[in-house]
Amino acid sequence: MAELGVDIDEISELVRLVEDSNLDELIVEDAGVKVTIRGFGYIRRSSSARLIDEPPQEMIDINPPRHPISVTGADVAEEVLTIASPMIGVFYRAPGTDAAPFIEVGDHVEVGQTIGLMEAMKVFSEIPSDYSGTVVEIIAHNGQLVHSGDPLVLLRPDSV
Amino acid sequence: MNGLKEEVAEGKYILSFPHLTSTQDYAKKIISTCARDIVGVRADYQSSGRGRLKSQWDAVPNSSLLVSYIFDLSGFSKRHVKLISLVTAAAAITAISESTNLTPQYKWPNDILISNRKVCGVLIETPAFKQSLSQAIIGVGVNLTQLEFPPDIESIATSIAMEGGQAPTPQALAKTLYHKLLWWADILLWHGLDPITEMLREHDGYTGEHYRVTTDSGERPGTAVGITSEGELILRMEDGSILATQNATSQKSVHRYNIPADS
Repeated sequence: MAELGVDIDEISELVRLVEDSNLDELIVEDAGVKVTIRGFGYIRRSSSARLIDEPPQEMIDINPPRHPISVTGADVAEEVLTIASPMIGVFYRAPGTDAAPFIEVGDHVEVGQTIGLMEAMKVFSEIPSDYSGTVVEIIAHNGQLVHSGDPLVLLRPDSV
Repeated sequence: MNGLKEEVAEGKYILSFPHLTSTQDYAKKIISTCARDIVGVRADYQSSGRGRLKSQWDAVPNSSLLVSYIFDLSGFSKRHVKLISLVTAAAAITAISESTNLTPQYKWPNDILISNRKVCGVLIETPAFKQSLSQAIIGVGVNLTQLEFPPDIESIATSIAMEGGQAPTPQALAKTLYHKLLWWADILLWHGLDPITEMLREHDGYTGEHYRVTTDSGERPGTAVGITSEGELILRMEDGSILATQNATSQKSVHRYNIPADS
């Protein structure tokens, strides 16, 4: 990150600012480096992240909404993406009591690979990754109630 | 694919096996082959259900209906997907009541009881193939001819035979249940959830039952007092407050999903 000429602490501070203030989008540009941080309000209005309780006018699309924190510069581009919950429900990391978790930090995941389960009304829905990359952090705990748009997993994509 | 084809509708079949490790797993394989004429998988005996199903449910070969339907979600919205639980419960109640001389009760979200004991359990999974969701796997187990159960579940489990009913064959009940699933799914799509919740309330077996609800602050106990028009369970909590939820588990559930520890 240092090669980008930006301070990770500064970016973290900007992320907190967006989250705390419920901003939809914040763009900061300085010395040829552009930082774009998008809040959940932005995502909820995007076509790929309808809320679970919205009227059923659309066909099923369970692609988890992205919560992108993108950093782009003149020569280098890097992006860390959040796989967010597409619905309210209980998150499970493994398919059963004795089974291994679907993913661990450091694992490489492919497009469509299951990263966890969501359960609501005893319907267990597999949550796929919609891009390939390396797992940076698993944010949601096993058995945790998560809401639509809540972050589940952080991924560093293979390419931007 | 091996297995005997049992026709349930014109050009639609359930694959039947004497023995499978898991009908859910086999149904998932069928989805990946895009075999559109196969709408379900049935086994006389299931040696090892997946993690969420416990083996005692199907301990005696050919004594239960053990079937996993491959359910087409075309036309379903995201909101509808979780309601498949209620559709399946309504289908199971009507299939069992029409196939036997018994009147089942409904226990939220999709358990079926007779004489306050569980006769039918359901497990529904939506596999994430590629990036879109087009099918659900609806696993149903119905106790038919058992005359006894292991001591750890004998107080909460029953069978059609134990209740004095005329037990249908697994094959016949699988066919009836398939058609009831389609019928109640059409009700949901064309008339909404109200007819389904109304029917389930008429078969109330949940009021007074104890549940644990998962909240933002952890699990809390509550007692069921009803279901909402959206199909959520209404609980009276220990502090007297009323809570509507879609994330509760019966405290005496046989098929409870056991949460593995975080690694």
